[in-house]
Amino acid sequence: MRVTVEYFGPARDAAGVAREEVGCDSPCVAQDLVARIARARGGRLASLLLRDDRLSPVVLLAVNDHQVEGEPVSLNEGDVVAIIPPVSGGMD
Amino acid sequence: MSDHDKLTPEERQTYEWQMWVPGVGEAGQQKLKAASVLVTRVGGLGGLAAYELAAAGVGRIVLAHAGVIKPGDLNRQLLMTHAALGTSRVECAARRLRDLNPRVDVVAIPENISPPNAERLVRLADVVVCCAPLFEERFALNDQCVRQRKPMVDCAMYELTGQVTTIVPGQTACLACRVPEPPANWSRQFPVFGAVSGAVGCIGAMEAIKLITGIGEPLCNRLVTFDLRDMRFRVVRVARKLDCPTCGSLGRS
Repeated sequence: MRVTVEYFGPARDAAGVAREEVGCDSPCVAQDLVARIARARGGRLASLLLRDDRLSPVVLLAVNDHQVEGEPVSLNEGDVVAIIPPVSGGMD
Repeated sequence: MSDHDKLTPEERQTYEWQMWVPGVGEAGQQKLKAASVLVTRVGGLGGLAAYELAAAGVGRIVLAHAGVIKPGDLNRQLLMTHAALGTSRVECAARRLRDLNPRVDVVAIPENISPPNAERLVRLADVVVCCAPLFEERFALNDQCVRQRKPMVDCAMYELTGQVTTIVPGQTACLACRVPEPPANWSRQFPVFGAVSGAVGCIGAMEAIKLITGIGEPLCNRLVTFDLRDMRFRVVRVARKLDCPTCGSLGRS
């Protein structure tokens, strides 16, 4: 099946794209998919999204605009997975 | 509502355009006049939030921000001026707000939020607009807002991206529910346009106005994130964690 992955803020920078269609075999768990993408890309995306090779607890994931929290969330064809790292204000 | 909060004829003229908004009227404007809002840091985010709150006639605006104005502030910190380079940020911001709306009581505090002063500063306000850059500041503010049961509008930005959510302790996810620890990768300096921080600050101000007047639907348990590079907007449902070390003890209300 195919799902859309959207990147916001620093994740967009690190991924180099705003959104992309990704293929995955069903059943596919949202948290696993995002961790897999981060590992495959490596570099800045991995350091932003992973901690000890697992998804960082500070990154907000949403499937179809609902936060993914705790329990594994199974994806369906056409779902939209948003990756939203925390951001803040600026100072020099 | 005390007599002091009644509107003068001149105030009715000044605010009539927003009093025409359904649900606001004279009663809503009186609520704004009676309200106090703490805006922590008055840079790119907080400066715009404070400016809109002053324009809207919030009775007391407490500004907290340390330091002096630097050239690098001026692309986005619209309350700061070239003429005031090297002088106090918070005093310059307060002056600009008083110029805009002399009816507003502006309290300028030359301090950034920290655990030692958060209790005192949050106590000064009914609503808090968090525009702090460091997660340590944001957590200190979140912690005190939860303790004092004060709503907090959480404003953040990066590059062409904005994030805003509204925290009502006991009812919504607090900052610690969503961000359980300081993000390891956050840098205090990053690319951003003033039009982005301004957009976020204005949304934050509108959230505070909604909380005070009771109109509309604040971003409770919802986080709006947007990317102005391609105009993607998403409103994500976020969930409160009942085992949150900061707000979990409040139970459900």
